[in-house]
Amino acid sequence: MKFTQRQTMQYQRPEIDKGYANQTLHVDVGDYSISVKPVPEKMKDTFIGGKGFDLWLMWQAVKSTTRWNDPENAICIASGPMGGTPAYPGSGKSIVTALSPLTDSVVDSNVGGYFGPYLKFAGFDALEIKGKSDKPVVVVIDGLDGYVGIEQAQDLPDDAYALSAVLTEKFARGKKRNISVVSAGPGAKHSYWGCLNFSWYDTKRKMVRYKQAGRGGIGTVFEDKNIKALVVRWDSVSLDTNRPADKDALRKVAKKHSKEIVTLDPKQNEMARIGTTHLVSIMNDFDLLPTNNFRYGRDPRSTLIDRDVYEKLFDPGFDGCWMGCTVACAHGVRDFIPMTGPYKGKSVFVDGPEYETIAGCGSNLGVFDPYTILEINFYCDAYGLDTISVGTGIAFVMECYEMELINQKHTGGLELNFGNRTAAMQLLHQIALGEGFGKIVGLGIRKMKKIFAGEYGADAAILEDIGMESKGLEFSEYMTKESLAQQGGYGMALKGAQHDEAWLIFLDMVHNFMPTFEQKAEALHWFPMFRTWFGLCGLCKLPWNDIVPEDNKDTPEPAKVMKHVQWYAQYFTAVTGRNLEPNGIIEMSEAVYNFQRVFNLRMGLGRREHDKIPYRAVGPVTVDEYESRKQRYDKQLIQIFGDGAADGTSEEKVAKLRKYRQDQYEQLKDAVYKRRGWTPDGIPTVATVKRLGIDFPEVLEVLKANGVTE
Amino acid sequence: MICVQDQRLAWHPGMTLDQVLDALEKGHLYAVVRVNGKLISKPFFAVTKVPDESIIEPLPLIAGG
Ligand code: SF4
Repeated sequence: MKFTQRQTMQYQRPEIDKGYANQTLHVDVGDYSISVKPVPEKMKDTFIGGKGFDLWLMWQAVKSTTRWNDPENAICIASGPMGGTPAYPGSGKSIVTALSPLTDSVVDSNVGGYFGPYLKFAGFDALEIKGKSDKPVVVVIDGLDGYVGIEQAQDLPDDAYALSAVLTEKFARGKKRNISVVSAGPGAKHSYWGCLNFSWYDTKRKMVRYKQAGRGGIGTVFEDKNIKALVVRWDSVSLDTNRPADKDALRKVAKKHSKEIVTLDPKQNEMARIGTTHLVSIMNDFDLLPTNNFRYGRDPRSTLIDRDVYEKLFDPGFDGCWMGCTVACAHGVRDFIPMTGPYKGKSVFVDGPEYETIAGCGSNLGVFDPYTILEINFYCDAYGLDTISVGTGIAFVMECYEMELINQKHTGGLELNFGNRTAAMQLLHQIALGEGFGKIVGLGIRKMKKIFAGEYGADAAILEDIGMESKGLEFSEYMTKESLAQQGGYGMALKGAQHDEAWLIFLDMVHNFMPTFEQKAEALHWFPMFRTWFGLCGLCKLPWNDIVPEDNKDTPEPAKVMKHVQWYAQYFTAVTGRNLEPNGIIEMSEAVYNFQRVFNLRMGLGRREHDKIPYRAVGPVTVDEYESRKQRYDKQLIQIFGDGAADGTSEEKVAKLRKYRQDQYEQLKDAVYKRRGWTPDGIPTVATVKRLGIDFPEVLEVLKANGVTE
Repeated sequence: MICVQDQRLAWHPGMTLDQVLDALEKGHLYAVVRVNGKLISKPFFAVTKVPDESIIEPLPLIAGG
């Protein structure tokens, strides 16, 4: 391991004031420059922090013509004003943005670990990294010594698992808990599915742990810039470190929420014990567990990969990905021994799996072996790959193989049938190393569709139907076929098919709480806006509604968990000193949300046509799929078209249902756009951007260029 | 007797989970319930028999994910 300093900057660390450092750090690894810029009040008022700050910095960094691998593409990382509060559960998130190689527009990803809070305490609300280095570099931010450095690095390990450990050791000066490392890995270099690993040091287990900023290929951008790692150093954290405006009020509200979680989590989702693994059996019971590329929603073998299995495998202990998070859901498996790859036969710690990984890399591949899922989870992290895109991407390839749209000539001999875990593992290693068929698969579903149709002669229409991506981003692991609202939750999500904006399946499909388009549109307004707010503040969404007050069901709108919304407003006020009522949260988020939609538009991605989803997400593509839910679909046809509608062949019924459901989805778009103050083409109106205070000349210019002048 | 969210309720032989939830105010809001440590989802409420002395804990899974 050898480091050569290329640039250094000494700085005077500012005192944190009411959750803000009031300056941002800008590093260009191309010309080795480092600079600091102040954060104006207007930036805080409009963009709040976190994703809002990231987007604002990116807006200035890139042009409409910038592509993901141009030097001016920026990776921005920020926590938020509440980020780094140790007493309030879920207060250590970082939000990362960049132009994505998958979507060609801005993508955001939310991640745990200590980096974002330590960055702020080191003196910076956000970090922007641009340029491309000719040699691998490590960027070091030392908040204790007031030092930022760009160092050329030689002979460092490639994979994130080993790299985070050696860098933690090197920079810790004996206190490993003071270090957080961001790294990607070889998979990020060789595919478009690169994730970033954000580390923290687990003092009980005496090891480096990590969480992933998975979505959208930001790790790929990181590798393209030739950055090996970012390292931040900071010391102990208390309630005072963030200098809240009203410490007593903060302590009070934090205690309430934290105590409630400790009392109720064991009676509710038990996340401190089993993370999100309980969702496997629940999704299966409701016919919602993605199986064989979202073709089916259940499989009797799901019991082999459900919570009861992982509960036994998880290493017991406190697993918060930030200090004092009483939800503590970031579990892992100790002493796992991979059967393949560079760690074959060695004992490793696997951080995970979470539900998404189990469903994506398990049931969706027809793989019901918990150990294969662990091995995929481990290698995705070590290689710097997003488990969701890997799972959904390989599931697509497997279905193409089974449908004979591709064959062994294309796969290099891999027999990619559903359930073939050996082939899945081989393909994963190929993706990570940029070898064989893996090189093509790692480009993502959108590009695979083009290659399979254009070069392999596969039927383009069927590829469109079964390729589970929207805006270029692979779907996360929920079945949306029977929930129109959730189809909107995926299709109209700003960054592509991720469920973090809205998760409405139960409200819509199970409870039928929103039968009309207007009600669905209202939900597709409120939930995305409220969920956006977590990303502005440096917060995790899970404590909001995964553990709820016992009297929540007696409130007028239980799905919103308004008691917690009230607490969050108090929390914001206590930290920032800025008075916030629950309703104000929505308006705050709306400004950033609409700004991101305009950003998409600027990059060529923010219109109605871009909110389309594959038909597999809407209804049954194949006869076989129709027949697997025949009763449900026949009943629906009769309800819509009257007696006799369920007569005829399954092919005819598939076609009839398709026409109806696609039309419903278009009507939903109309309702949602109207509710959000957008044109029928899905563009925020001038009146909307004015109301939200984001009517900057550049924003108006983008709207005008797209024909929107009022 | 059975225990639902720390409340005691009368039990009768053959009692199903559906019947337990029907007896609760807003019991229809629950999609998943834990019965003696085992998760039961709505599609199985009607066919799940609840033994005497059961502990029943409704899960708040409503807008999660
Ligand atoms: S709830 Fe889980 S993911 Fe969220 S901050 Fe806490 S430990 Fe991390």
